[in-house]
Amino acid sequence: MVNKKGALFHWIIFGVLAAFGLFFILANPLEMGYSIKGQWQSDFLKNYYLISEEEMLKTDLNAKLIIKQAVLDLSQKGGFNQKSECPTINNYNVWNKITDWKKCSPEPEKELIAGIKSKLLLSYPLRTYDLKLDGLSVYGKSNSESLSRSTNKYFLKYSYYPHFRITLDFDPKKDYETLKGEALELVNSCRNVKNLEKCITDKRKNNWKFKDCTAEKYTEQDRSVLFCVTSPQQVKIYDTNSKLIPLTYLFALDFTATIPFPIEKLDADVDLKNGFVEIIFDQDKSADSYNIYFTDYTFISSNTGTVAELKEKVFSGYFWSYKELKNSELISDPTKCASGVIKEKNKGYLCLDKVYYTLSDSKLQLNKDYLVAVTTVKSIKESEINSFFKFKYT
Amino acid sequence: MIPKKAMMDDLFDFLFTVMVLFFILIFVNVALVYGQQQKETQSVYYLEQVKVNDALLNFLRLPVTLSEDKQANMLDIISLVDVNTNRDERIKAFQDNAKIYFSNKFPGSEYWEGGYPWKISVYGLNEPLDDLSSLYNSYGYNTKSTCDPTDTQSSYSYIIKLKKVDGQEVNLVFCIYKSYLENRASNKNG
Repeated sequence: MVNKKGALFHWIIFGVLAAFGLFFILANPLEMGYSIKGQWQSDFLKNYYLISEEEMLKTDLNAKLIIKQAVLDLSQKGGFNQKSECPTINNYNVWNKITDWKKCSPEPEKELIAGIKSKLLLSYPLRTYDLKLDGLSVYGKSNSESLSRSTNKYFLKYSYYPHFRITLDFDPKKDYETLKGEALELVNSCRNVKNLEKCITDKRKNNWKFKDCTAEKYTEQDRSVLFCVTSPQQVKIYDTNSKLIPLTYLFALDFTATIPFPIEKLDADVDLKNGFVEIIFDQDKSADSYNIYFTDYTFISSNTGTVAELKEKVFSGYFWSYKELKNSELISDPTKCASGVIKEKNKGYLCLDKVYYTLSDSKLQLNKDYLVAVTTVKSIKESEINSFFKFKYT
Repeated sequence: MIPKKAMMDDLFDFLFTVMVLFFILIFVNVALVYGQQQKETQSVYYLEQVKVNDALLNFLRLPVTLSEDKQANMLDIISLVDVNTNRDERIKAFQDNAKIYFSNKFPGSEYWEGGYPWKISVYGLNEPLDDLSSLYNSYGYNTKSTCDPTDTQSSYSYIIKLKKVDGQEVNLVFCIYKSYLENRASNKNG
């Protein structure tokens, strides 16, 4: 028989074992004090730091796509986001108004920034970007964004700034500056030339095309011509169909002449029977009036220049006279255009865009040689004399 | 006086108790140490996942020189921004750079599950992930990988949605075997 002391000792063993069992069941010592080290930190890195890095990476990509699209859109509107203050022709913005380039030519930096801003706002409505264009780089500074989580134990907020700096492989402003310079040169060279198409074709650079860069077509409206010009920096850009295309600029230029055009082709037909010389020349619709000069000093027949210069060359004893004919006074009556029809003296008749002026003057004498020239007058300004026509009043 | 038999009984009870306590403590010690190692391995494994994500993000910023000395990065190549090069050159640039970069990041001298432990691919958004006609596909050197991003039991994948120049989205998928990461974690911990 086991004594009392032995029995107590015996049962203590089972008590200790039971205590261990209970401890294992209730406390799970495998988990006690051995939580995964750095789990919170790993979780933070993965779900906050790296997520924000991914977002900033996507911001960089989206910003790049947006900037390129804005550059492309702007070039297609001739450098304007909205309609410019100046007129448009077939949706082509006109870059100048006669000689005024300040009001109508685009400000590429301002317009490009506005274009990028509006596109960024569509992609990121909660962000406010402050944009700066500096050479090849576009800087975007934004307000901060944050990722946050709230639990019973803690509140976590991770903030970051989704700024970007995109470096382009071309300077978007440089193309506009080059094009403005070339446009100014072209307008100055051709604005006072009557045959505009020929002048532009001769003077333009190779990357300048009319209206459409692939199928060019000369389009002129009130001396404003439509252009499609490929990038002087030869920039190529992807369009929305993933097609790599050359960057082209669509705009129009105003070639309104600052001085009236001289009359280039002149003819004269003496009609002694009716007592006048019929002077024939092309009508200039832009002119207010014509001055028909005639002189008996025939030694200046091959001279050209202003009226004052040529008049000065006429020796004393010879006459230098003129008649004025207003465009509005032209008689547009087809019945008067037929040959043999009696016409009034010193009147202008319009027949198929040609002016027939019946010059009659007491200074004209039989069997004598005379020179005749015609100038156009527009807003007080008078054109030069381009050529004389010599005739014998016989 | 206590009889001899009772004394022997007590002695054996005592010895038995000591032995039982000895084995219990050994068991507890082994269990606790193993548990701790497991947790530490798991902790390193989590860190390995962070490294995978970080590696992929850095890969996208990797600078690349293309023909005519044109500078771009992997992000540009995938999204077609800034890359005036043909598709073949883009694919080659993607594959070559991915092979060098990820082989350095996740080296493995032996084949893993019959191939290489990682795989990186770019898919159109509507293409199934296992479609082999993906836009770009890259594996380890000289071998293919069987890592399947849809098998979340055996692989860890990090997917980034990226926008292309045409406005379409693509999935950039990096897949790596969990067993490979666990092995790296236990080696680092061990």
